[in-house]
Amino acid sequence: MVLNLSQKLIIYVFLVLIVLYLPATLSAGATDEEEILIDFLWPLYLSLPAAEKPKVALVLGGGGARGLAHAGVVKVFAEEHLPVDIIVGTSVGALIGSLYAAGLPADTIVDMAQHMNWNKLVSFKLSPVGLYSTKRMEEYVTKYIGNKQFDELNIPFACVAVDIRNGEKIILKEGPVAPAVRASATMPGLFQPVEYRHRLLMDGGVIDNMPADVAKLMGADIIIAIDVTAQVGIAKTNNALLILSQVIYIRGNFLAEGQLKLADLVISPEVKDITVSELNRGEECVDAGVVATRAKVRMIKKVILNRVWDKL
Amino acid sequence: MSKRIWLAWLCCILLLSVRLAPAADRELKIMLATAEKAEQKNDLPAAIENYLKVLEKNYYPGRIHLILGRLYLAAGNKSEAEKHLTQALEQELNQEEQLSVQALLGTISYCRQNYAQAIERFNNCIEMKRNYESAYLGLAKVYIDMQMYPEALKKLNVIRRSKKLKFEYNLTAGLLYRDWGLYQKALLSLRQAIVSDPTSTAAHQALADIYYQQKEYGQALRELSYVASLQPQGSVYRTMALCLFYLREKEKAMAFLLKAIKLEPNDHLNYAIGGLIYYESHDWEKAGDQFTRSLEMNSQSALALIGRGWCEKKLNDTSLAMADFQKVLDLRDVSWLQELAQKNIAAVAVEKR
Repeated sequence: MVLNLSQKLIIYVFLVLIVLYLPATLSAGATDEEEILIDFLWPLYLSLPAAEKPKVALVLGGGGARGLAHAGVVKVFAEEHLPVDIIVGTSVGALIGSLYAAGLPADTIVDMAQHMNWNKLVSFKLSPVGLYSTKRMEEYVTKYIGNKQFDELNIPFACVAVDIRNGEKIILKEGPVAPAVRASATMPGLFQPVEYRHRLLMDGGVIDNMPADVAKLMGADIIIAIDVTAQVGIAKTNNALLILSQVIYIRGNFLAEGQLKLADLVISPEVKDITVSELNRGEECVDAGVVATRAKVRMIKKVILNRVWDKL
Repeated sequence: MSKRIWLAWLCCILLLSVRLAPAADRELKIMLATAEKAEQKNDLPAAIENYLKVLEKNYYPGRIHLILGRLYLAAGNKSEAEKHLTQALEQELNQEEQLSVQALLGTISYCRQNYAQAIERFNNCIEMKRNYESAYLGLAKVYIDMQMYPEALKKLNVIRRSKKLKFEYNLTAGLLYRDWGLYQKALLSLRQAIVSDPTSTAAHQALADIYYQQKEYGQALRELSYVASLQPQGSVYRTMALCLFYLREKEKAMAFLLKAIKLEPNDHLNYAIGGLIYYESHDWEKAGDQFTRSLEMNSQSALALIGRGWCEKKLNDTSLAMADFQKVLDLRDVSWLQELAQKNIAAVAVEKR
């Protein structure tokens, strides 16, 4: 009899722990007035003619491997049917942005981000101007979107690079997309600059890591900026690439401050501890992008609805 | 002679005690069997009553206090549960029983949202037994509620390969990913949980939540129908009504709203949603009535005030509309809805001019 009791106790504790799941059932259903109203108004917004809708721009900042979080961001935008009328990117932001602008399904982009590695993007090629060529990056983009020109993309897109001969900020929004993306994502020091239309181009992060102003120039009414900069204070600096990227991002963070003020909303995935070179942490980055964007979906809808409420 | 009497007396006592001992044991056996039977039938009051009788006999008081703590907790009486569990700790218990007591006390602290204490209790269990799976599960759930998702995931990963808690692991992982916003992972885990226990309403409801959030209303409806068949709740019918409304099945949506109202007649949201449905059908008067009923139940409902304001605006009662929008501005903690009301006031003012 005593033994029986003892044996049952263990099973019973598990059963009582089911109590732990009760709060889960309470969370179901629409109980939030704000959410109900947003959900009610959103289809009305979607049914508006295009001319009456504000143009929403996604500005994808640079950040090396951390920028793989952009894949998570576009995934949520696609899932939630959030509008994207303009995409602007720098460096890895240009890479992910070009793919989404070309109409690649978000799930494909996520898959690419989760399986990214340096071999797909660069190859060792000794030269006085850098150790690696980024030609493979151009081939990689071409493999997925073909030889598309900017004006053939589904969503208007631009990316930013710097002409290292004169320090000019170059906005790339015409001609073939793949070489432009490559130029925008070619980090100085280790990677060789890209010859592009009589210019010698390198990573846009050097001059403008968060080109919100470009989105404005392209006619954006609402700017949503995705910030994947490193937390400079905790960044690792134990190899040449990391030191170089640290220098770029110290400057980039400083420059981005002004640009972020142009944004109506900033999404900051939790990737600050990931270094620029850790492409093997793609899944983590994608998840961080999904989580950060999901947390802002309601805010994004509110920002948009605020602009059109009188037309609904 | 006196020796003989003394011996005879002693024999009588011995004989009596031999006869009485099995009788007491039998009585205890009957009480325990009755208690267990009641529990099996989920008749918690009867089970508690019988275990209390056993406790009076001082039969393994530690264990009985523990059982009573568990039963009171299952019956939702946390303070009685806590009392018995605390008393159990004062008695002699073996390690498994001590673990059970700590885990149950942790559960009570969790239910009371005393997360620091819950963490302490569950950690006590882990200190006593490193691989005590229930404690990791409890900790994960606490961290989920505290929105410390990476911590929750770490705790859950400890029991990832547990065969005993396969369902609990998958369900908790599903809830974790759902709340974290990682819907794809949540769906995978919840589907796994349903494979282990196809009747789990918690898992089906969590699935419905995700489908609803993803605007996959058809799928959400399917899950909610199942939940409603097992556990009819007003909030479930209301969400079903919303799904149907977004699927443009307004009549069916209204039918489900009525079901929700039947179960929860005082929930103002049911009427507010009814108002939205009529509003969308351009039936401003009926919509206005629904919003008014909603406000009768909750005069602080910003949704109902805005909705009624819209109806009044459509019916050209601009002063009433202005008054309702103005009321929203006086409410607390509804900042965006206030922003919306403010814009409506400005628009009505322009129209008036």
